[in-house]
Amino acid sequence: MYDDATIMKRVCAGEYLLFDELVLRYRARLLRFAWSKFGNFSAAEDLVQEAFLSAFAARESYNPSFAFSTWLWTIFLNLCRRHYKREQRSPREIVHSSMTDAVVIPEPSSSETPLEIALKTEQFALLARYLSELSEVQADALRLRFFGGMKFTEIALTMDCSLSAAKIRVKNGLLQLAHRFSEASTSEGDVS
Amino acid sequence: MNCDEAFDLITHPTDHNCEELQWHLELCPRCRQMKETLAPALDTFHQILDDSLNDSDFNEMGSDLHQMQDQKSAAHFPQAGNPFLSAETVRIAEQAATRLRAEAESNQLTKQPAKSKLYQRRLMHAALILFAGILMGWGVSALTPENHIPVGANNLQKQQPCLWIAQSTENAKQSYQTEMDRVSVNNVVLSCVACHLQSTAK
Ligand SMILES: [Zn+2]
Repeated sequence: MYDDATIMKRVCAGEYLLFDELVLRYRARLLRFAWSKFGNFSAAEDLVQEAFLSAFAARESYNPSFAFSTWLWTIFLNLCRRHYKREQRSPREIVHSSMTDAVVIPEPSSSETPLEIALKTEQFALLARYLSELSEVQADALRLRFFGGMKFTEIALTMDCSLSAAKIRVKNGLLQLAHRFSEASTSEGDVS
Repeated sequence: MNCDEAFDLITHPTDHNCEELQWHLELCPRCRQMKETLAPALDTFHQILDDSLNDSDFNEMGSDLHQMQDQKSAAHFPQAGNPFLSAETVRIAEQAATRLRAEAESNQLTKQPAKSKLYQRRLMHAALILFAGILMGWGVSALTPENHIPVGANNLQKQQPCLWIAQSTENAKQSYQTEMDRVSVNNVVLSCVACHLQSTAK
């Protein structure tokens, strides 16, 4: 199959349906990111769709001097941050948006994909909740690293920061998360 | 592998159990400690990824997700007048492209001078060594005109190994002082120059 840059070149030349291949390649990762940030599957789906649509609409501005994936993630991260800001401003409109309250885990239905089922576990909900307690940049860096499967250089480009800043965000975020998980397991032990 | 590369692997979504990392962890208590400290968070991420990675993603595999996506994405692209797409959203994409392009270009620009700087530095290095050699040779010949100065660099190295390198060995440490007394100044200088010229040429 073609690489991302070739697909974009052909899409720009009019082979629009090839763009589907890019959707297949990145959709699951983007969904995992957004689902962990907003805890709402339909909001996550909307954001992912919006990111792909805007990349498609702005396809002429793409240039092979940078990776398509980095571009897509940059667009997506910006859309997620915009959505996050809106949520912070009007939290009543969105159900369990900030995830500081108890996270609702929807019952899996038979039509769901393994990805959706995996994202609806208690463990994922807990992780998403602890991520929401971190600073936004730390949490996003962790999401990009683990859910996006990105290299640190790609994270730095996407977040528009230095390589060392990207690493520090991931490292400090992990330290805080690890501390939070340990705390939770200790208090669980105390209760039982 | 250094500790920085080890951190890359410790936090790698899929390669976090690779052999190279295990070797490093066995030898490096600092990274071992780091991995243990981060374990509660890392394990959760890795477990979630292991559970959901069957479907697609990093391996670009998967059946059911793809089928679902085939149906969905066919409806997504390309469609005019989709309610999700606003002018602002497209502008976000264009701005991202502009920034990434500028970064790619500036990266290329900084790479080229770095190459020429390296070349300049090597030239300077060689010139300095040559200059030092000439200067010392002149000084030595002025002081000890009766000394015969050997010409071939290879011969020089056989006569006298570079003292800076030899100094690191136990033998050299013990005999360093007596050696310094015994060896004439011009031999030391010329042997060093010969040795370093060779290593620079390599
Ligand atoms: Zn180490």
